[in-house]
Amino acid sequence: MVTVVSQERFDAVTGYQAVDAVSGEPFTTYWHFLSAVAKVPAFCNGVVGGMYSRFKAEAMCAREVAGLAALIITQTNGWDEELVDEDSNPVELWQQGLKVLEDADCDASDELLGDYCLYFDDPDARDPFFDDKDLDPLGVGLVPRGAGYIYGADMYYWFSQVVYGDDSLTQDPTLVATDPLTWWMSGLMRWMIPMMGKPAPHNIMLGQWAATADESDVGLTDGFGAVAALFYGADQCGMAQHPVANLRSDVYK
Amino acid sequence: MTYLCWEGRALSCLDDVGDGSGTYLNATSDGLLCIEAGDPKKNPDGWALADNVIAEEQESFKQKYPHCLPSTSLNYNDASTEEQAMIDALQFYELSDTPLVWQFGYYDDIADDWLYWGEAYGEELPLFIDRYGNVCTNMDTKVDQSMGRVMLAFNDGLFDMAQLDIDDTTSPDDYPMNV
Repeated sequence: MVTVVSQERFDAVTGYQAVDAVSGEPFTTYWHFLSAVAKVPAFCNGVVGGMYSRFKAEAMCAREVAGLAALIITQTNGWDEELVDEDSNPVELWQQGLKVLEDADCDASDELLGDYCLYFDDPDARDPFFDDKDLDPLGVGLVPRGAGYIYGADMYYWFSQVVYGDDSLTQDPTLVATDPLTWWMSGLMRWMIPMMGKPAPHNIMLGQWAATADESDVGLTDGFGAVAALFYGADQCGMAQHPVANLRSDVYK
Repeated sequence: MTYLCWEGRALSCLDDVGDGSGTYLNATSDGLLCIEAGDPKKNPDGWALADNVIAEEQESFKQKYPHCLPSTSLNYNDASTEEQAMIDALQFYELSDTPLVWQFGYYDDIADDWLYWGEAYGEELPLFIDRYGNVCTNMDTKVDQSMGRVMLAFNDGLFDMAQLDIDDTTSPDDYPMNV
Protein backbone atom coordinates (compact mmCIF):
# COMPACT_ATOMS: atom_id res chain seq x y z
CA MET A 1 0.00 0.00 0.00
CA VAL A 2 2.90 2.36 0.66
CA THR A 3 3.49 2.44 -3.09
CA VAL A 4 0.00 3.91 -3.45
CA VAL A 5 0.00 6.23 -0.43
CA SER A 6 3.39 7.77 0.25
CA GLN A 7 4.00 9.99 3.26
CA GLU A 8 4.18 12.95 0.90
CA ARG A 9 0.72 12.21 -0.49
CA PHE A 10 -0.70 11.65 2.96
CA ASP A 11 0.69 14.93 4.24
CA ALA A 12 -0.62 16.76 1.19
CA VAL A 13 -4.25 15.97 2.01
CA THR A 14 -3.97 16.26 5.79
CA GLY A 15 -1.78 19.34 6.16
CA TYR A 16 -4.63 21.35 7.64
CA GLN A 17 -5.99 18.66 9.91
CA ALA A 18 -7.27 19.17 13.46
CA VAL A 19 -4.60 19.78 16.09
CA ASP A 20 -4.34 18.45 19.60
CA ALA A 21 -5.77 21.02 22.01
CA VAL A 22 -2.92 20.60 24.49
CA SER A 23 0.20 19.98 22.44
CA GLY A 24 -0.81 21.85 19.32
CA GLU A 25 0.55 18.95 17.27
CA PRO A 26 -1.43 17.52 14.33
CA PHE A 27 -3.99 14.95 15.49
CA THR A 28 -2.61 12.07 13.46
CA THR A 29 0.34 11.09 11.30
CA TYR A 30 1.18 8.84 8.40
CA TRP A 31 2.51 6.30 10.92
CA HIS A 32 -0.81 6.09 12.75
CA PHE A 33 -2.44 5.38 9.42
CA LEU A 34 0.05 2.63 8.52
CA SER A 35 -0.26 1.12 12.02
CA ALA A 36 -4.03 0.96 11.66
CA VAL A 37 -3.89 -0.57 8.19
CA ALA A 38 -1.43 -3.18 9.49
CA LYS A 39 -4.14 -4.35 11.88
CA VAL A 40 -6.62 -4.91 9.05
CA PRO A 41 -5.00 -7.71 7.04
CA ALA A 42 -7.56 -7.72 4.21
CA PHE A 43 -7.41 -3.99 3.53
CA CYS A 44 -5.48 -3.68 0.29
CA ASN A 45 -5.13 -7.45 0.36
CA GLY A 46 -8.65 -8.82 0.00
CA VAL A 47 -10.02 -11.62 -2.14
CA VAL A 48 -10.99 -9.99 -5.41
CA GLY A 49 -14.41 -10.81 -6.84
CA GLY A 50 -14.89 -12.25 -10.32
CA MET A 51 -15.67 -9.01 -12.11
CA TYR A 52 -12.32 -7.51 -11.14
CA SER A 53 -10.19 -10.64 -11.26
CA ARG A 54 -8.36 -9.38 -14.35
CA PHE A 55 -6.85 -6.50 -12.39
CA LYS A 56 -3.52 -6.75 -10.60
CA ALA A 57 -3.39 -6.64 -6.81
CA GLU A 58 -1.72 -3.23 -6.83
CA ALA A 59 -4.48 -1.77 -8.98
CA MET A 60 -7.14 -3.13 -6.64
CA CYS A 61 -5.27 -1.72 -3.67
CA ALA A 62 -5.11 1.68 -5.35
CA ARG A 63 -8.82 1.46 -6.04
CA GLU A 64 -9.62 0.66 -2.42
CA VAL A 65 -7.33 3.36 -1.02
CA ALA A 66 -8.79 5.93 -3.42
CA GLY A 67 -12.31 5.06 -2.30
CA LEU A 68 -11.44 5.33 1.38
CA ALA A 69 -9.49 8.55 0.88
CA ALA A 70 -12.37 10.12 -1.03
CA LEU A 71 -14.78 9.34 1.80
CA ILE A 72 -12.42 10.49 4.54
CA ILE A 73 -11.42 13.73 2.91
CA THR A 74 -15.00 14.79 2.22
CA GLN A 75 -16.46 13.50 5.49
CA THR A 76 -13.85 15.23 7.66
CA ASN A 77 -13.30 18.29 5.50
CA GLY A 78 -12.91 21.83 6.80
CA TRP A 79 -14.95 23.19 3.85
CA ASP A 80 -13.23 26.56 4.13
CA GLU A 81 -13.11 28.00 0.63
CA GLU A 82 -11.36 31.13 1.86
CA LEU A 83 -8.52 29.36 3.63
CA VAL A 84 -5.07 30.43 2.46
CA ASP A 85 -1.59 29.15 3.19
CA GLU A 86 1.47 31.05 4.51
CA ASP A 87 2.05 32.56 1.09
CA SER A 88 -1.59 33.65 0.79
CA ASN A 89 -2.27 31.00 -1.83
CA PRO A 90 -5.71 29.40 -1.59
CA VAL A 91 -5.87 25.99 0.08
CA GLU A 92 -7.90 23.59 -2.03
CA LEU A 93 -10.69 21.63 -0.39
CA TRP A 94 -8.94 18.34 -1.11
CA GLN A 95 -6.10 19.56 1.13
CA GLN A 96 -8.42 20.11 4.09
CA GLY A 97 -9.07 16.51 5.10
CA LEU A 98 -9.16 15.38 8.76
CA LYS A 99 -10.18 18.82 10.00
CA VAL A 100 -13.33 17.48 11.72
CA LEU A 101 -12.88 14.39 13.86
CA GLU A 102 -16.41 13.60 15.04
CA ASP A 103 -19.73 13.19 13.30
CA ALA A 104 -21.22 16.65 13.68
CA ASP A 105 -24.73 15.25 13.46
CA CYS A 106 -24.25 13.71 16.89
CA ASP A 107 -22.77 16.77 18.51
CA ALA A 108 -24.81 17.74 21.55
CA SER A 109 -25.47 21.17 20.06
CA ASP A 110 -26.81 19.84 16.80
CA GLU A 111 -30.47 20.12 16.05
CA LEU A 112 -30.47 16.65 14.53
CA LEU A 113 -29.52 15.14 17.86
CA GLY A 114 -33.06 13.99 18.50
CA ASP A 115 -33.30 12.26 15.14
CA TYR A 116 -31.03 9.38 15.92
CA CYS A 117 -28.45 10.09 18.56
CA LEU A 118 -31.08 9.86 21.26
CA TYR A 119 -32.39 6.69 19.70
CA PHE A 120 -30.60 4.64 22.29
CA ASP A 121 -32.29 6.50 25.10
CA ASP A 122 -35.64 5.34 23.79
CA PRO A 123 -36.39 1.79 24.96
CA ASP A 124 -39.34 1.53 22.58
CA ALA A 125 -37.25 2.32 19.52
CA ARG A 126 -33.94 0.59 20.03
CA ASP A 127 -33.14 -3.08 19.67
CA PRO A 128 -33.80 -4.75 23.06
CA PHE A 129 -30.30 -6.20 22.79
CA PHE A 130 -29.03 -2.85 24.01
CA ASP A 131 -31.43 -2.53 26.94
CA ASP A 132 -28.99 -3.43 29.68
CA LYS A 133 -26.01 -1.70 28.11
CA ASP A 134 -25.08 1.73 29.28
CA LEU A 135 -23.91 3.24 26.02
CA ASP A 136 -23.18 6.80 25.17
CA PRO A 137 -24.74 7.89 21.86
CA LEU A 138 -22.15 9.86 19.94
CA GLY A 139 -21.06 9.94 16.33
CA VAL A 140 -18.29 7.55 15.44
CA GLY A 141 -15.01 8.16 13.73
CA LEU A 142 -14.16 9.12 10.23
CA VAL A 143 -16.53 7.13 8.05
CA PRO A 144 -20.18 8.19 7.93
CA ARG A 145 -22.98 6.13 9.34
CA GLY A 146 -24.77 5.76 6.00
CA ALA A 147 -27.76 7.45 4.49
CA GLY A 148 -30.93 7.06 6.47
CA TYR A 149 -29.41 4.82 9.09
CA ILE A 150 -29.94 5.22 12.77
CA TYR A 151 -26.79 4.61 14.67
CA GLY A 152 -24.80 5.76 17.59
CA ALA A 153 -24.14 3.64 20.62
CA ASP A 154 -24.51 0.36 18.73
CA MET A 155 -21.56 1.33 16.56
CA TYR A 156 -19.42 1.76 19.64
CA TYR A 157 -20.55 -1.57 20.95
CA TRP A 158 -19.72 -3.49 17.78
CA PHE A 159 -16.52 -1.55 17.20
CA SER A 160 -15.33 -2.39 20.69
CA GLN A 161 -16.29 -6.05 20.51
CA VAL A 162 -15.27 -6.77 16.91
CA VAL A 163 -11.98 -4.88 16.82
CA TYR A 164 -10.79 -4.86 20.43
CA GLY A 165 -12.68 -7.88 21.78
CA ASP A 166 -13.68 -6.02 24.94
CA ASP A 167 -15.83 -3.11 26.14
CA SER A 168 -13.08 -0.48 26.20
CA LEU A 169 -14.87 1.71 23.67
CA THR A 170 -18.25 1.52 25.32
CA GLN A 171 -16.54 2.45 28.57
CA ASP A 172 -14.76 5.38 26.96
CA PRO A 173 -16.27 6.33 23.58
CA THR A 174 -14.29 9.57 23.47
CA LEU A 175 -11.25 7.55 22.41
CA VAL A 176 -12.50 7.59 18.83
CA ALA A 177 -11.95 11.33 18.76
CA THR A 178 -8.89 11.60 21.00
CA ASP A 179 -6.71 8.57 20.22
CA PRO A 180 -5.47 8.60 16.61
CA LEU A 181 -5.13 4.84 16.23
CA THR A 182 -8.62 4.23 17.63
CA TRP A 183 -9.95 6.90 15.31
CA TRP A 184 -8.47 5.19 12.27
CA MET A 185 -9.65 1.77 13.44
CA SER A 186 -13.23 2.98 13.86
CA GLY A 187 -13.30 4.13 10.27
CA LEU A 188 -11.65 0.99 8.99
CA MET A 189 -14.22 -1.13 10.79
CA ARG A 190 -17.02 0.74 9.02
CA TRP A 191 -15.13 0.28 5.75
CA MET A 192 -14.51 -3.45 6.19
CA ILE A 193 -17.57 -4.85 7.99
CA PRO A 194 -21.01 -5.23 6.39
CA MET A 195 -23.56 -3.55 8.63
CA MET A 196 -27.28 -2.95 8.82
CA GLY A 197 -28.05 -5.44 6.07
CA LYS A 198 -25.81 -3.69 3.57
CA PRO A 199 -22.44 -4.66 2.12
CA ALA A 200 -19.25 -3.07 3.35
CA PRO A 201 -17.52 -0.57 1.06
CA HIS A 202 -14.59 -3.01 0.97
CA ASN A 203 -16.87 -5.73 -0.41
CA ILE A 204 -18.19 -3.38 -3.09
CA MET A 205 -14.82 -2.02 -4.14
CA LEU A 206 -13.33 -5.50 -4.50
CA GLY A 207 -16.28 -6.86 -6.46
CA GLN A 208 -17.21 -9.39 -3.77
CA TRP A 209 -20.78 -8.15 -3.85
CA ALA A 210 -23.26 -7.53 -6.64
CA ALA A 211 -26.50 -5.62 -6.38
CA THR A 212 -29.90 -7.26 -6.28
CA ALA A 213 -32.62 -5.84 -8.51
CA ASP A 214 -34.05 -3.83 -5.61
CA GLU A 215 -30.63 -2.44 -4.74
CA SER A 216 -29.99 -1.46 -8.35
CA ASP A 217 -33.29 0.41 -8.35
CA VAL A 218 -32.10 2.63 -5.51
CA GLY A 219 -28.74 3.34 -7.06
CA LEU A 220 -26.57 0.67 -5.46
CA THR A 221 -24.89 -0.65 -8.59
CA ASP A 222 -21.18 -1.31 -8.30
CA GLY A 223 -17.86 0.43 -7.82
CA PHE A 224 -17.32 3.69 -6.00
CA GLY A 225 -20.72 5.01 -7.09
CA ALA A 226 -22.34 2.24 -5.05
CA VAL A 227 -20.22 3.14 -2.02
CA ALA A 228 -21.36 6.76 -2.30
CA ALA A 229 -24.98 5.65 -2.67
CA LEU A 230 -24.54 3.37 0.33
CA PHE A 231 -23.54 6.26 2.57
CA TYR A 232 -25.30 9.26 1.11
CA GLY A 233 -28.15 7.89 -0.99
CA ALA A 234 -30.65 10.45 -2.20
CA ASP A 235 -29.00 13.17 -0.10
CA GLN A 236 -26.28 13.62 -2.68
CA CYS A 237 -26.46 11.05 -5.47
CA GLY A 238 -28.11 12.01 -8.73
CA MET A 239 -27.86 15.74 -7.92
CA ALA A 240 -25.82 17.64 -10.48
CA GLN A 241 -23.02 19.78 -9.06
CA HIS A 242 -23.50 18.72 -5.45
CA PRO A 243 -20.30 20.17 -3.88
CA VAL A 244 -19.60 17.26 -1.53
CA ALA A 245 -20.26 14.67 -4.22
CA ASN A 246 -18.09 16.59 -6.66
CA LEU A 247 -15.15 16.77 -4.26
CA ARG A 248 -15.54 13.10 -3.42
CA SER A 249 -15.46 12.17 -7.09
CA ASP A 250 -12.47 14.39 -7.73
CA VAL A 251 -10.46 12.87 -4.90
CA TYR A 252 -11.35 9.36 -6.03
CA LYS A 253 -10.27 10.05 -9.61
CA MET B 1 -18.49 -51.09 14.85
CA THR B 2 -15.78 -48.80 13.58
CA TYR B 3 -13.73 -50.05 10.66
CA LEU B 4 -10.33 -48.80 9.76
CA CYS B 5 -8.78 -48.89 6.35
CA TRP B 6 -5.50 -50.75 5.83
CA GLU B 7 -4.12 -51.46 2.39
CA GLY B 8 -7.59 -51.40 0.89
CA ARG B 9 -9.13 -53.78 3.43
CA ALA B 10 -11.59 -52.94 6.16
CA LEU B 11 -10.55 -54.15 9.58
CA SER B 12 -11.68 -53.82 13.14
CA CYS B 13 -9.86 -53.85 16.43
CA LEU B 14 -9.80 -57.04 18.57
CA ASP B 15 -9.62 -57.10 22.34
CA ASP B 16 -6.80 -58.79 24.26
CA VAL B 17 -8.78 -62.05 24.44
CA GLY B 18 -9.90 -61.99 20.85
CA ASP B 19 -13.60 -62.66 21.43
CA GLY B 20 -14.91 -59.34 22.76
CA SER B 21 -14.77 -60.38 26.42
CA GLY B 22 -11.50 -58.63 27.22
CA THR B 23 -10.28 -55.07 27.10
CA TYR B 24 -9.45 -52.94 24.10
CA LEU B 25 -7.40 -50.48 26.15
CA ASN B 26 -3.71 -50.48 26.96
CA ALA B 27 -2.37 -50.79 30.49
CA THR B 28 -2.76 -47.08 31.21
CA SER B 29 -6.21 -46.87 29.61
CA ASP B 30 -5.18 -43.97 27.40
CA GLY B 31 -4.86 -45.78 24.07
CA LEU B 32 -6.01 -48.80 22.07
CA LEU B 33 -4.02 -52.04 22.29
CA CYS B 34 -4.48 -52.94 18.65
CA ILE B 35 -3.12 -49.65 17.38
CA GLU B 36 -0.19 -49.53 19.76
CA ALA B 37 0.88 -53.07 18.83
CA GLY B 38 1.07 -52.21 15.15
CA ASP B 39 -0.73 -52.85 11.87
CA PRO B 40 -2.10 -56.31 10.93
CA LYS B 41 1.24 -57.35 9.45
CA LYS B 42 3.05 -56.83 12.75
CA ASN B 43 0.12 -57.62 14.99
CA PRO B 44 -2.16 -60.18 13.27
CA ASP B 45 -3.85 -61.17 16.54
CA GLY B 46 -4.93 -57.61 17.24
CA TRP B 47 -7.06 -57.12 14.14
CA ALA B 48 -9.98 -58.79 12.41
CA LEU B 49 -10.25 -58.36 8.64
CA ALA B 50 -13.83 -57.83 7.51
CA ASP B 51 -14.89 -60.40 4.93
CA ASN B 52 -16.09 -59.27 1.52
CA VAL B 53 -15.54 -55.65 2.32
CA ILE B 54 -13.21 -53.38 0.45
CA ALA B 55 -12.30 -50.20 2.23
CA GLU B 56 -12.31 -46.85 0.59
CA GLU B 57 -10.17 -44.14 2.05
CA GLN B 58 -12.27 -41.25 3.33
CA GLU B 59 -11.31 -37.63 3.05
CA SER B 60 -10.52 -35.95 6.29
CA PHE B 61 -12.58 -32.99 7.50
CA LYS B 62 -9.76 -30.66 6.49
CA GLN B 63 -9.67 -32.14 2.99
CA LYS B 64 -13.43 -31.85 2.57
CA TYR B 65 -13.77 -28.36 4.05
CA PRO B 66 -10.44 -26.58 3.73
CA HIS B 67 -11.73 -23.03 4.04
CA CYS B 68 -12.37 -22.13 7.67
CA LEU B 69 -13.18 -18.97 9.55
CA PRO B 70 -11.55 -17.73 11.62
CA SER B 71 -9.24 -20.70 11.12
CA THR B 72 -7.77 -20.97 14.58
CA SER B 73 -6.74 -24.08 16.48
CA LEU B 74 -6.01 -25.04 20.04
CA ASN B 75 -3.50 -27.39 21.56
CA TYR B 76 -5.70 -29.74 23.54
CA ASN B 77 -3.17 -30.25 26.32
CA ASP B 78 -2.61 -26.53 26.77
CA ALA B 79 -6.30 -25.64 26.52
CA SER B 80 -8.43 -24.66 29.50
CA THR B 81 -10.97 -27.09 30.92
CA GLU B 82 -13.75 -25.21 29.15
CA GLU B 83 -11.90 -25.33 25.84
CA GLN B 84 -11.19 -29.03 26.23
CA ALA B 85 -14.89 -29.65 26.87
CA MET B 86 -15.71 -27.71 23.71
CA ILE B 87 -13.22 -29.70 21.65
CA ASP B 88 -14.56 -32.98 23.06
CA ALA B 89 -18.13 -32.03 22.19
CA LEU B 90 -17.53 -30.46 18.81
CA GLN B 91 -15.46 -33.29 17.44
CA PHE B 92 -18.63 -35.37 17.25
CA TYR B 93 -20.17 -32.73 14.98
CA GLU B 94 -16.96 -32.60 13.00
CA LEU B 95 -16.93 -36.36 12.45
CA SER B 96 -20.63 -36.58 11.63
CA ASP B 97 -20.59 -33.88 8.94
CA THR B 98 -23.45 -32.02 10.58
CA PRO B 99 -24.28 -28.87 8.62
CA LEU B 100 -25.18 -25.63 10.33
CA VAL B 101 -28.87 -24.74 10.36
CA TRP B 102 -29.97 -21.12 10.27
CA GLN B 103 -32.95 -20.91 12.59
CA PHE B 104 -35.61 -18.29 11.97
CA GLY B 105 -36.34 -16.18 15.01
CA TYR B 106 -38.28 -13.18 16.17
CA TYR B 107 -38.42 -11.00 19.22
CA ASP B 108 -41.40 -11.94 21.38
CA ASP B 109 -42.83 -9.10 23.45
CA ILE B 110 -44.53 -11.43 25.92
CA ALA B 111 -41.47 -13.59 26.52
CA ASP B 112 -39.31 -10.48 26.34
CA ASP B 113 -36.73 -12.53 24.50
CA TRP B 114 -35.78 -13.87 21.08
CA LEU B 115 -37.66 -17.03 20.13
CA TYR B 116 -36.73 -19.40 17.32
CA TRP B 117 -38.59 -21.91 15.20
CA GLY B 118 -37.26 -25.47 15.49
CA GLU B 119 -34.41 -26.74 13.37
CA ALA B 120 -36.83 -28.49 11.03
CA TYR B 121 -38.05 -25.07 9.87
CA GLY B 122 -34.55 -23.68 9.53
CA GLU B 123 -32.34 -23.36 6.50
CA GLU B 124 -29.53 -25.84 6.17
CA LEU B 125 -26.29 -24.14 5.18
CA PRO B 126 -23.23 -25.69 3.52
CA LEU B 127 -21.17 -24.81 6.58
CA PHE B 128 -19.61 -27.25 9.01
CA ILE B 129 -18.06 -26.83 12.43
CA ASP B 130 -14.68 -28.27 13.26
CA ARG B 131 -13.58 -29.26 16.75
CA TYR B 132 -12.12 -25.83 17.43
CA GLY B 133 -15.38 -24.06 16.67
CA ASN B 134 -14.31 -22.77 13.25
CA VAL B 135 -16.95 -22.47 10.55
CA CYS B 136 -15.67 -24.45 7.58
CA THR B 137 -16.72 -25.11 4.02
CA ASN B 138 -15.32 -25.74 0.57
CA MET B 139 -15.50 -22.49 -1.39
CA ASP B 140 -14.93 -24.34 -4.67
CA THR B 141 -17.60 -26.99 -4.42
CA LYS B 142 -20.00 -26.30 -1.59
CA VAL B 143 -21.09 -22.69 -1.63
CA ASP B 144 -23.09 -20.70 -4.16
CA GLN B 145 -22.17 -17.18 -5.17
CA SER B 146 -24.18 -15.37 -2.52
CA MET B 147 -22.93 -17.58 0.29
CA GLY B 148 -19.42 -17.13 -1.09
CA ARG B 149 -19.80 -13.37 -0.73
CA VAL B 150 -20.85 -13.73 2.87
CA MET B 151 -17.84 -15.91 3.58
CA LEU B 152 -15.48 -13.47 1.86
CA ALA B 153 -16.96 -10.58 3.81
CA PHE B 154 -16.42 -12.54 7.01
CA ASN B 155 -12.87 -13.44 6.03
CA ASP B 156 -11.93 -9.91 5.03
CA GLY B 157 -13.53 -8.42 8.14
CA LEU B 158 -11.07 -9.99 10.55
CA PHE B 159 -8.84 -7.66 12.54
CA ASP B 160 -5.44 -8.41 14.00
CA MET B 161 -4.76 -6.05 16.87
CA ALA B 162 -1.63 -8.02 17.75
CA GLN B 163 0.17 -6.47 14.78
CA LEU B 164 2.81 -4.08 16.05
CA ASP B 165 2.54 -0.37 15.39
CA ILE B 166 4.61 1.09 12.58
CA ASP B 167 6.73 4.19 12.96
CA ASP B 168 9.58 5.90 11.15
CA THR B 169 12.07 3.44 12.65
CA THR B 170 10.27 0.35 11.35
CA SER B 171 11.97 -1.29 8.42
CA PRO B 172 9.68 -1.65 5.38
CA ASP B 173 10.82 -5.28 5.32
CA ASP B 174 8.89 -5.74 8.57
CA TYR B 175 5.64 -4.26 7.27
CA PRO B 176 2.74 -6.72 7.00
CA MET B 177 1.92 -7.84 3.48
CA ASN B 178 -1.00 -5.46 3.00
CA VAL B 179 1.04 -2.42 4.02
